[in-house]
This record gives sequence, C-alpha cells and structure tokens, in this order.
Amino acid sequence: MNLARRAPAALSAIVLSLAVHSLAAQTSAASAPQPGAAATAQQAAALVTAFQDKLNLDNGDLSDTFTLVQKKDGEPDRVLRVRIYRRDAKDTFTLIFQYPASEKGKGYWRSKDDLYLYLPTTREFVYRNRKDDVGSTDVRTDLFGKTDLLSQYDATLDGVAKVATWETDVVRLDAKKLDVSYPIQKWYIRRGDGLPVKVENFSAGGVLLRTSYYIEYKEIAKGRYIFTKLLAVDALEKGQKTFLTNDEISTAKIPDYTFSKAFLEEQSR
Amino acid sequence: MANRTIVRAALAVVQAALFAVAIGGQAAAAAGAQASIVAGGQAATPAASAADNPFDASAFDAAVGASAGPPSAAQSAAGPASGGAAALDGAAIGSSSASTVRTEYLVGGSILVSSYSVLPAGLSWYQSSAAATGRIFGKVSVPDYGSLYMSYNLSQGLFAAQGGTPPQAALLANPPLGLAAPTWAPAELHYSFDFGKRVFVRFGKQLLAWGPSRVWSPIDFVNQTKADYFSPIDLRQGKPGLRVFLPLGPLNATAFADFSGLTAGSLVFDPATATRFAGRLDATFGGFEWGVSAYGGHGAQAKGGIDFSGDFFGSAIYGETAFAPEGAGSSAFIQSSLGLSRSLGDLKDWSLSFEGFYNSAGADHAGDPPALATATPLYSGMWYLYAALAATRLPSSDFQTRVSALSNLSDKSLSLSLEEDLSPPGMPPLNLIASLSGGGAGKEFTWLYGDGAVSITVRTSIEF
Repeated sequence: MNLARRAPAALSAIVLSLAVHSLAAQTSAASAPQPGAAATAQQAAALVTAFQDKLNLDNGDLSDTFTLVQKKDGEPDRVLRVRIYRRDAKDTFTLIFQYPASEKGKGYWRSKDDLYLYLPTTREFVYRNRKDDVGSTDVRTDLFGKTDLLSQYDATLDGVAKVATWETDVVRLDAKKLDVSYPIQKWYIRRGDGLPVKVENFSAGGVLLRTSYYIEYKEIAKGRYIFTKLLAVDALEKGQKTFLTNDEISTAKIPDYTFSKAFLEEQSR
Repeated sequence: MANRTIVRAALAVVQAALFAVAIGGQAAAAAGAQASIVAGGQAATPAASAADNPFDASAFDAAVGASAGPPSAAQSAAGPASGGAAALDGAAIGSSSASTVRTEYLVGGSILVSSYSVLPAGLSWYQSSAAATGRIFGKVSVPDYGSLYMSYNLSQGLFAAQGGTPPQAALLANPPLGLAAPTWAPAELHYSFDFGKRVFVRFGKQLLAWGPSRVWSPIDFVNQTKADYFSPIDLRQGKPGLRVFLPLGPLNATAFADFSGLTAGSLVFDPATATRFAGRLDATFGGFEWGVSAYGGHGAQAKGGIDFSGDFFGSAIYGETAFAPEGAGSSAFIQSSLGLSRSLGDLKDWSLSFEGFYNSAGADHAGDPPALATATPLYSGMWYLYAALAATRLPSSDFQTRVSALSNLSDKSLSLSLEEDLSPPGMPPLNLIASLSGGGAGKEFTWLYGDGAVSITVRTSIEF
C-alpha cells in the first residue's frame, strides 16, 4: 500500500537501524544469565552506566548529520542523510530527513517517552511511544537521543570476548518491558576506555537480528563521546549492510522551537 | 487571464524544477563523494585501516585493532581508543553556527501510475483503464519572510478498454480519464510565516492534519473531504483559511478560520457571518496523546470531538469520537472510531490491525441506489469494520503480503483483498491488489459492479 514510500523507507530503515544498533544492542547466543550474583548484575550495570555517562551529553546541545550508505547484494547503493538536533538535558531530540528528496521533510521529534513522526505527504503527526518501531521501517529512534538502557533492561555479565584484538566485557541485557527496541541485547564493552565496540540485537527467541560495530568515536566535550562511524549488518537480510558516518557535528545552542511540532512542519515538503 | 496565470505558474514550476535538479545533483554528488571517502577507507581508525572495505564486517571482526593493539594506557587516560584524533581536526565541534540561513527552493512530487480492471461475477462485461495521477509541488522559503507553497494535482488517462455493457451506474461513478490531455487542478497554495518562532501562521488554501485515525476520521470536520486511507497519494483539495499554531511544549493549540464560505460564484459575503472556526488542543500524558476539537460558526452545525493515540502493552491504539447537536438544518449525530495494530512473531514480521467505526446517523441503504450514489463512501452505514493481516518477507525478502477485509456491518456487504508488494532488484516496486466484493447485490460494496465482482489493480508510484 505504501508503494510510494517503500523504497526510501527500506533505506531509511536500514540506515536508521544501523544507527539504532549503536544504541540498541546485543546478545551473542541467548545464553542464560549467570547464576550468581547480584554482584555480577551490579558489575554489569556499572559498565552500562559508565559508557552511558560518556555517550550522553547532559550539558549543552548537539547537532550532527548522519549519512547512511546501504549496501545490498545485487542492488545499487542507497544513500540517506538525516540531521539530528539533540538536547539530552531535556531528553529530547529532533530528526529531519535531508536526502533523498523523496524523503526530505519527513521527521521525528522525541520528548522523553513521546515520539512524533511527521509525514509531509499527508501533513500528519503520528504519535508513538519512543521504544516502538518508527512507522513501518523497523527503525528505533532511541539511538539518536539520550541513552538510558537500565530503565528498560536487566543487565548481567556474559563473560569476556575478543572483538578484533580488543578485550571486551560482554553485558547481556534482557528487557524488563514489552515495548523495547530489542528483547535481548549484548553489548561488547572495550576494556581500557569502557566504550562499546560491538552490539548484537536478538529477538525474544534468541534469533540474531543485527550486529553493529562502533568503528570510531569522537570526543565532543571532556569525557563525552559520540560515534562517528558505525557499521550495521543485518542478520536476516543476507548481504545487507549499512555504513553510517556522523559529521557536521556542532555543540552550538539549538533554538528551543527546534524541539516542537512546528519545526517539523516548517521543514515539510 | 487565468490561462496566462497558469502558464506563468507552470513556467515558475519548471524553473524551480531545473533549480531543484541542480541542487539535487549537488546533493547526490556530495553524498557520493562522502560515500567514496568512506569506501576509500580513511585511515583514521584501526577498523578502517584494517578493512579497506568498510562493509566487510568479517574483516572488522577479525582484524580491527590488529595493528593497533589494545588501547594504550595513555589512550585510556585520554579517552576512547578510536585512533581517530587526526580525523577530528577539521570537525565543526564547538562551532558557533549549526547551519547557514539561506533561501531554499524545493520542487517535487508524487506520481502514481496504475491500472484497474473490474469483472462481474458472470463475466458478462469488463472495464479496464490505466492512468497517471499525482501531485506536483513547489516551495520557496525566504529567511525572515516565511515560505510559499503551491501544489497541483494532475491526472492523465493512459489506457481505456471496455467489453459488453457495464451497468450505467458504474460508468457514471467511475468514468475513465481522458486520453487526449492531462487535467490539472490547484490543490494548495499558502503562505506561512511566524512571530519569533513562537506563533506560526499559515494563510491560504491548505490541508490540515486533524485526528489520529486511519480508515475513518470522525473528528476531521475541517478539511473539505476525508482522507482516503486506501489511496497511496493524498489528492485532496485544500481549504481556504487562516491557521494559527501555537506550540507550548507538550501542549499544542491550533486555531483555524475557515474562509470557504466567504464566496459563492460571484457573490461575496460578510466575514462576520460567513467565516467558520475550528480549534484543537492536543497534549501528551500517561503515554498517550489526547486531543480536543471544536468547529462552528454562524449558520454552521456546531461539532466537537475528542481523540487519543498511543501504545498499550506493545500495541498501537487510537480512537476518535465526534458529536454534534441538531442545528443548521442537520441532525444530531455521534461518530466514533477505534483502531489497534500490533506486530507479531519473534521477528515482528507479521502485523495485525483492526479499526471499527460507528455512525449514529448511518443506515442500511441496501436496495437504494440513489442513496448509495450520493452517500460518502464508508460513512453511509452505521457500523463498519476493517481488519488486515500483513507479513513482510513473505514469501521472500522482496515481497510483502497483506490480506484485508472491509465490511459495512449494517448492510452486511464487504470487500476482501489480497495485496502483494513486490520490490525485486532492478525493477520498479509494484503493488498488486485483487479484490472481491460480496454480501449480496445492491449494497455499499456491490451496487456498482454487482455481487461477486472482482477487481485487479496494478500500480507503482514515484516520489521525487
């Protein structure tokens, strides 16, 4: 039915999902939580809290542009570009599609748990819970804003693993709620700097859905980081990968009205 | 005069289109350049240096950091071991301006190319046609002045065929589009501006978003016509008026002065008595968005409505209720819709959706063709139900399959549809729909083509 939007939507899904991966995350096999210990859970929670403290920007604004290049076997590459405006202190962000032209003007505004999707073709605002899929794209928006995994997941240590040559602690997250991006995730947290380098997203049944690799980070304020390169691999669509770059990063103050329905409508086609 | 205006408008659109093509080309080039930089492997990180092809995940998994080793103590102290410091040199971090304010031009459109064929149960006749329909728009935004938006609907018949003798009602209800020349009609033309980014004004012929429902929208008593959920492209005409929008954090207020009654032919009326007004407040709390709407004015039936939308235990639910007392020659009514959609399966590749509609003013019009011919489709009965089950990646990743049923429960007629979205590589995406109407002759879904009629639709659309 959504013929007109399907191809771009698929791209956006891939693109955003790639981005999403960065936020979402993992589980290598659906292994059972370690019997043991509240201490293990505390350690896992401490690891999550530590990297969230580095990835969240509680003071000041952040705007950046994500370019997503999707590769799929037998098809030409697709490119999508989105501009993000982020204010973690208020737990809000706005996302506007800039490219391709057919998607331009589409956007999202999230304010805490409230997420609005704006569809320029019908002038509609669709209200959604932030942890739900975005439209029909299977894209989760929590990647772009403030990260707060422990409010949605129980964390347990799931051993250690080597990602490339890095030693990582593996934290398994099991959803506490129904309406989360992924029921199970595994985050591979690099020892030394405590930042995630790999995330695996699983279905409730333990099927691997997606793997994301954080290839590069950039320090945007003292002790605060944002990823600038990410690779997401779709485990269901063989040969489908999305490479995401993040640039035009600015910490300049963003006008308040950017976080409103009015801004989305102003950007409309 | 009107023709000259249209010609000028068309020229402006063409000029704007050429400009947009140039801009689009630059954007594409920029995107391509960016992609090539990425593909070239900026040696900023161990990952990139180890894997020339950034899409090679196995290379990343196996070799990332192989040359760099684990982060050094110094790196650990300084921050992440990304090795990307050199890449940060040209970054815009801390820049004072996020973007450059400039005049922006945008031209685009959505075009639907479709074919439609209908066959009655006895195959005694057939009708078939193909057409291109769509909307072309242009928008220019000038800093501190606002933006001007204009759109035109266009349609062009591409093919028409007929065999046997279709019912006269069918010919009248769905005449084929002419093949000789396209038809054009202005859909929207409005000027938007704001006061200090606090109050947003839109003046002119415009469409308004009014309510969350999908198939039935009882509280949309503002637009001239209800949105068609089953049409891939919104081809409604805008309504002349003045809209004022005030965002107040989680609360949004919208006021609309409806000028559609100010003129009738060559007559012009007093705005004090001919203007009608609509207002809407929406806010979020408790995990839902709630809205309250009202419409009225001199000589108009007063109407009110409430609506909500949100998520409940993993399902999206929404609803609207509109009510109106008797007035302005119209009877009192209550209309209400309620919908739910939910993803199913471990991989969430199935979705189930329902929407129901109640209309106190509706009735069973079975056997009354004149009443059915003049009624608004999907609003003439008292009770309706829509249900759909969709599956992605069925039978493969290039397909999406949907079965749906739409029924007028008052006259017990219905339409069953099987829909297939195809997007195989190297081909335009296609949407195929096969529908069967049933429930007895002379009812809402059967009075045009008869009980048991089958229709086949094939369509694709282009957005640019």
